[in-house]
Amino acid sequence: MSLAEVPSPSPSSSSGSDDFAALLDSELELASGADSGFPDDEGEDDGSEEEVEVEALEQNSTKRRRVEEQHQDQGISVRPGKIVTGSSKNVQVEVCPHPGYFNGLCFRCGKPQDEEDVSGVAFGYIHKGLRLGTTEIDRLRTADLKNLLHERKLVLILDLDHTLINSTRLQDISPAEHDLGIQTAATKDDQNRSIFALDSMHMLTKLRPFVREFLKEASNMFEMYIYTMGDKAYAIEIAKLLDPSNVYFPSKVISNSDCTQRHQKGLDVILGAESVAVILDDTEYVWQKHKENLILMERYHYFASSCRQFGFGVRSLSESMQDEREGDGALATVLDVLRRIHAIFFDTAVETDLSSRDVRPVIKMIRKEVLQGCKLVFSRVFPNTTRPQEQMMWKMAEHLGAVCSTELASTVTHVVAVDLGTEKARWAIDNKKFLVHPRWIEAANYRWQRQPEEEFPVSPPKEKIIRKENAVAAQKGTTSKDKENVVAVVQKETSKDSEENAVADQKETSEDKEENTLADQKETSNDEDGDDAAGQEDKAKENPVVAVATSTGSADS
Amino acid sequence: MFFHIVLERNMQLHPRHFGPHLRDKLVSKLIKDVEGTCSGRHGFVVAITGVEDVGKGLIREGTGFVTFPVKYQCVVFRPFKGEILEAVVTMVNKMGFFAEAGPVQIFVSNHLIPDDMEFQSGDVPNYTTSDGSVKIQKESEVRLKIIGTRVDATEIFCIGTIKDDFLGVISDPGAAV
Amino acid sequence: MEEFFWVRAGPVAHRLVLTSVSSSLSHASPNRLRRPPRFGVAREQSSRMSGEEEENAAELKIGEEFLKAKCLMNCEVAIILEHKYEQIQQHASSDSDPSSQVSQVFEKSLQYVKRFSRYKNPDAVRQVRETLSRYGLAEFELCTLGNLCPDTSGEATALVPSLKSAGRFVGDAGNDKIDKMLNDLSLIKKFE
Repeated sequence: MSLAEVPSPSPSSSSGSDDFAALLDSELELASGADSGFPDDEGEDDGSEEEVEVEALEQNSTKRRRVEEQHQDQGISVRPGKIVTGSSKNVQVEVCPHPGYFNGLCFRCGKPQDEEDVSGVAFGYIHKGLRLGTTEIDRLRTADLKNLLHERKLVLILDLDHTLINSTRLQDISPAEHDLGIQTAATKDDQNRSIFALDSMHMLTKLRPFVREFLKEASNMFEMYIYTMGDKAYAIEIAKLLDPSNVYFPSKVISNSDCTQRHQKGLDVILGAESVAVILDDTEYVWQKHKENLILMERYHYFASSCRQFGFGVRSLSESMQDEREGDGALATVLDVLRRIHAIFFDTAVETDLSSRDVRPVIKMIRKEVLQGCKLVFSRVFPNTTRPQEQMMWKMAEHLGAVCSTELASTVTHVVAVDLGTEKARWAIDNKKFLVHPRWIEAANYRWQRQPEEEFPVSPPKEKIIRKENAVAAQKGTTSKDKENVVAVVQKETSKDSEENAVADQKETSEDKEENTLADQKETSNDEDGDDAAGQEDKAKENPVVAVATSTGSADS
Repeated sequence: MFFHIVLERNMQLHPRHFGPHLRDKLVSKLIKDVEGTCSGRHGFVVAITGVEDVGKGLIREGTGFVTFPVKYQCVVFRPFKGEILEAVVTMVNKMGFFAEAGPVQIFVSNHLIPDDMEFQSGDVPNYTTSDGSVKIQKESEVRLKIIGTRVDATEIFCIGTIKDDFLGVISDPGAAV
Repeated sequence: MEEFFWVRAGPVAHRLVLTSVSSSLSHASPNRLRRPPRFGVAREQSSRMSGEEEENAAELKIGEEFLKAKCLMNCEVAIILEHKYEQIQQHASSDSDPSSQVSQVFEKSLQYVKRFSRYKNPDAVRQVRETLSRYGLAEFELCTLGNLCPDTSGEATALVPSLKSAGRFVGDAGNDKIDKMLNDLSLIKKFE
């Protein structure tokens, strides 16, 4: 075996690059010497080699068969119908159900994906090039559920903008914010700061008060995902701010590129069971299919641009140097709710098997406790021409456990009105019933608690200047690029019908004057009672969020 | 597997680079053009180790550029189906784990992880045997068999398995070795 | 001749020196014998995938070109790449960071082979190749064994099934021969 004598590489023997090449030349010679790959066989006739080959193959085939059987067994459990009948042991039939793909290769059998059959869901947020079939997703969800419940955890899906944070583009910073040195604050080297500059994106981001404690606490009860309509780069930047050591959201940051439907978020890209998923988001519209899992969050508007975008004319929190309070702000409130959901779900006193429990009825039940025992009558809150039962405020009250009625009765506890002058409002005063503004219901909805009625008085009628402001607000909303925002604004400001019209085709339908106002974006002068009520409501709703935020947060300035 | 092979490439050079350092110019341009690229046939070109031969240049009419056929030796990395190699685990999740063997990305799905290894979530997600003796987590070194390969314009992807004899963890970062 | 270059010469055009016929045709027929395509499904799959299915390193089906080519063990690649990296360092020390001068592929490969080299000492690396070369191994087999360093003949044949082909390691005697080979390797490691 002269081949053994050929020198191997040794760095000491070379200096220049060509010398080094010469060194490797010697190795290449060795390579060409080992031409056939079987130096021992050289000189022998082809026949003997083939004989040996067959022998080797037989050995291999026994081993293969074993693997094959294993595959088939698995195949049966996944897709029984797929077993090829009549397969003898000589036939190698690969029965792989192709559970999913990694960059076009089946990750169970290694075969390339059939180009015509691109099924399943892409899970780019877990790993680039990963795609899972529905059977595999179900299988993973089932396995995941078992593990989660074993750890006494549920799934929590968190929106970013207006839920956990508020961001603004640098170019949108208002003069007032600039004067207050908001950019300096964002670049300060302070461990406890909550405002950050995202230099690469030319943005500032403000963390919602209490968010760090919230994530820490929630991570003990939930497996958490971020799910934003923002793009991937933004989502990852924000995730780094919220979770610097990557313990809360590893491979769990979902952005717009992962959505399977335009402008919709879906639980289909989450490998957790729907029955254990709780969603926190400030936008209901995007969760059409999963409203039962959703806890709607009070929008966090910190920056002036955010207020402007949503049509609020008032000074922003940033401009007034205020913020939500840590202790009883939106995130602290919702954390308490999450704790209750978790406790009730895992209640040991309940007999049913954990895996058959569902978080959705739990959410519903807790929500229903908020206004339990309240019987509400609405007075000119809704336009005359609509069915009150279909109105958002009515439904919201019912979801909160209140009983709603159109008729006065002694059992009524609250009259909801925007005008002191209505008959029902006077009745409430005469009969010592609570007379509250609709905001009382909204506040209860966001705070998960019946609010002190005296904080939501019905004010005497005022001049109708407000309407113009609202028209402007709506205009801003509808011309905004962000459809999500448009919908959100309209949803907030108007009844459901007008929302659809304003969004869908901005066409004037004559059911509602308020809607005309929005659609035409001009001030109309209908002063009949019904419209008056609607107009007043506009005023009242002028800025529910900021009103709430500042009222609860004023101490923290 | 790494190979040391000879490849040839036609290099174009503008006459302004001609002179005593023509060869150096060609070599540095070759390195810049070729190192780090990948092809389905040869895999990744990791490093050029030497230039065997620079052929006679041919002038391209009109442009003045000259084309030189250059024979060069290089180290390539090309994974094969059926090859067994060692890799470092880069990410573990409930679908399986991702690993890297040099520039090559390999996915080992939980279908191809032995059934007695179960996924454990937590701060350091891992696959562990029921007795806890074997654990796969980020930074673990594993020996795996490649069952499928795909070459992209810039990357090579593989499907691997550890569901066979003598495959699996060779060291886990937690244990003292 | 000239015209060839006018048309083909371009930054992408490069030609193989080690020309290869289509991959490993000689192995194709026994492979088919083992799997007669009797049923529709099976036939369809095997014909569509035939190109893919030919490749199998366990049976040394890596294509003529690579079968003939020089394989490198990780420890050898480590020596080559480290040497090259040092050269770059020497040349570039004045102006910039050497890591910026090499491709990501180079860097990842270097990290990899450093981590997975069983032998660090160049003399030991040479001895490993010398030792393994005495056993009539194909390049690919030699390097797989040198990289993975199996402990027993059972492990070696599981990792390199092709060892049992070509009549090199037949029966118990063959296993003893493999064990002897592995023992030689472990001695090199021991005295490294």
